[in-house]
Amino acid sequence: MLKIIRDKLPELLTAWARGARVLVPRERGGTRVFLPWEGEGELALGQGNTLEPPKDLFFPRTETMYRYQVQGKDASLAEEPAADARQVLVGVRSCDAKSLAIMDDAFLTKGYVDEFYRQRRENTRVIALACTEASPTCFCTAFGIDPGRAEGVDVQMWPVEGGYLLEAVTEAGQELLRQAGDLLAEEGDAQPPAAAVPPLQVDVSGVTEKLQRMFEHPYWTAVSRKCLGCGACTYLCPTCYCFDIQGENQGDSGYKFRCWDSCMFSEYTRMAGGHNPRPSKKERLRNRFLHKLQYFPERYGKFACVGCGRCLDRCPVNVDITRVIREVKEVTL
Amino acid sequence: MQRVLQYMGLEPERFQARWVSGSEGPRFAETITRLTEDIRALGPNRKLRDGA
Amino acid sequence: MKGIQEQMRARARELLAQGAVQMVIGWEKGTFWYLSPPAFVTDPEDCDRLVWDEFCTNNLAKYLLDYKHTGDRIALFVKGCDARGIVRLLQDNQIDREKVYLIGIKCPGVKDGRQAAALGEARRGEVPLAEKCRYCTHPEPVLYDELLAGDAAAREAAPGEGRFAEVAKVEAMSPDERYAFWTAAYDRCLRCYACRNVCPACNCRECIFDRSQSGWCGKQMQRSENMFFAITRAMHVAGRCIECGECERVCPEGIPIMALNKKIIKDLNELFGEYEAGVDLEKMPPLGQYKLDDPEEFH
Repeated sequence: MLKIIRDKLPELLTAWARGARVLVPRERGGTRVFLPWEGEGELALGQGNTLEPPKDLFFPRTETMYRYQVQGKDASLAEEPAADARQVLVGVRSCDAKSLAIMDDAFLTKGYVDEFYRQRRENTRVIALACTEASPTCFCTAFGIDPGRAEGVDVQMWPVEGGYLLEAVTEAGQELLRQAGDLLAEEGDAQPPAAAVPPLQVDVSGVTEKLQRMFEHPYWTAVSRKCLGCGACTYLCPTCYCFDIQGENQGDSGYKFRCWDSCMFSEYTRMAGGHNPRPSKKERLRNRFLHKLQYFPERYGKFACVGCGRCLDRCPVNVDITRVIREVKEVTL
Repeated sequence: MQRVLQYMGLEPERFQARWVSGSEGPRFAETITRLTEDIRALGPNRKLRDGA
Repeated sequence: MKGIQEQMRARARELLAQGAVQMVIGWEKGTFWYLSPPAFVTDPEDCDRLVWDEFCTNNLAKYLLDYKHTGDRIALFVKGCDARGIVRLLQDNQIDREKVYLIGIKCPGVKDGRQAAALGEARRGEVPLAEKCRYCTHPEPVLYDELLAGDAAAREAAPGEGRFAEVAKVEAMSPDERYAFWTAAYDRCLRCYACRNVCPACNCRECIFDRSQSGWCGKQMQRSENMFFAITRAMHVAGRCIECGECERVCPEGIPIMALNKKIIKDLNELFGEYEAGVDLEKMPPLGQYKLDDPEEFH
């Protein structure tokens, strides 16, 4: 196992930043988010998660898909330049690492590959940082996630006294560690620290099967009363991937873009004629939970929740997915 | 509105509102002329441009 | 504060059992000790869920719109700011006074849940007042059908100075600094609309921002559209903002929304004379009426 002392980490990031954009948790306006490393400044690699998940780096809030120009009866299209810039994402927690596998299912499998997503995903190396202390809102272990070792990453890091231990998991990860040169020292017998134990526990077994029989249950009316119908939960969720496609037209030219969308909004399901099959927040909130806990597992064999706790942390009215899971399992049909 | 724009660091002269009745043609023309001159003096707006 | 909580439960139980109301809206204990989210009780047997503690932060007024088209009569617990929210909704003809039963609580000011989480339960006594309560001018409800007699006295109205301190800070900046300040804030905006949805002054049946095809404001999460959203919403609640501070509290990105709303309140006070929204049912907002001697600088 290799070790880097804490003070040398910025040098390592700078080394990786040659030829790639390095993104690492940093402070911004009182919150912590993944921001580019430009050679100097403070890092925010302490315990806990970033406010926003790293999904924006693969699936931007807003991205142009193509531009068009109309001349008389002719129209021409211009593709956007490929998103082939290399990225190195540093300090990803196990929950967020797992969320990438879930996003991969949605964007890359079942017969359609989303090129915008694929390019960014393939050009990004992921370096995980183990959790040794959980936040009160953490419940990743409920979904079988190990906060001490992430899945599907290139390098795993562990915080230890005075620095970090690093272990390459993939070939690309080994290459990244080679780039580090003498910033890393061999720590032959070093053991990774004990993983955090998330305080919030919830047993998710059987919840999908229960939900399959609960579509019309009055529980949804009760649970949705306090919901504000805002999109904070979906936009901060590492596994919510819904988007809308719209156009911005100016005279003879314009562009098509896609941007994040939220099933919590009335516009999300409103049809051209004005009919809305999800007319109130009851149907919308129900959809959010059914998508995460029933539809996604039915289609991909896994839950679309990683227990990162962001929705629970930021919901203005304390809509708590762990509580919903428990209550769903308890209600009588 | 101008006060809000100013507060956000934008040039307030870019937004002007005046009551002009449908029967006040010359006043309307005069208002628009003045507005156009004001904007021209300011030059192109560089703020709030996306991707800038 | 036990006394209030017990009275709350007792009154809720009586009102529901008598059939005087069909629902009671209050607060209950949430996932953590520092959360007391809104609670909706329809069964008299269920009233022990209701709590009153220093984390009963949410302004409940807005929920009445969800029941506007039902025949239900609803009882609502109101702090100072909740009551002002009710006055706003009444002035906008959004709710029927006869269908609402208001139980007032003299508010000692609520505590900051986020800071409570950071401090830990052992230091519960040290949790500071929520930002939104620091400059509260009306801790006692301005409108109610009955007032709960508390063993804890309501706090005094906060002294006036400080109320516009944030505004003064921004005003003192150069135009470019102000631009940098606001764009940095609104570049973060996720357009989740939590600020709008929680706001008792935002009660349009159809919001412009839910009609992205109308061409007014694109759905792009980017600087021009985010700023358009910010300015439009601020102007739309001009003269109607009750300073409950919920918008800023619910913002997941911590955007200083009240520094914008308060700027407008300050300007309106200068232009039209002192006015506080949602305090007096008879006093309409300055921008909701027309007087011959209104200042020319209305725009």
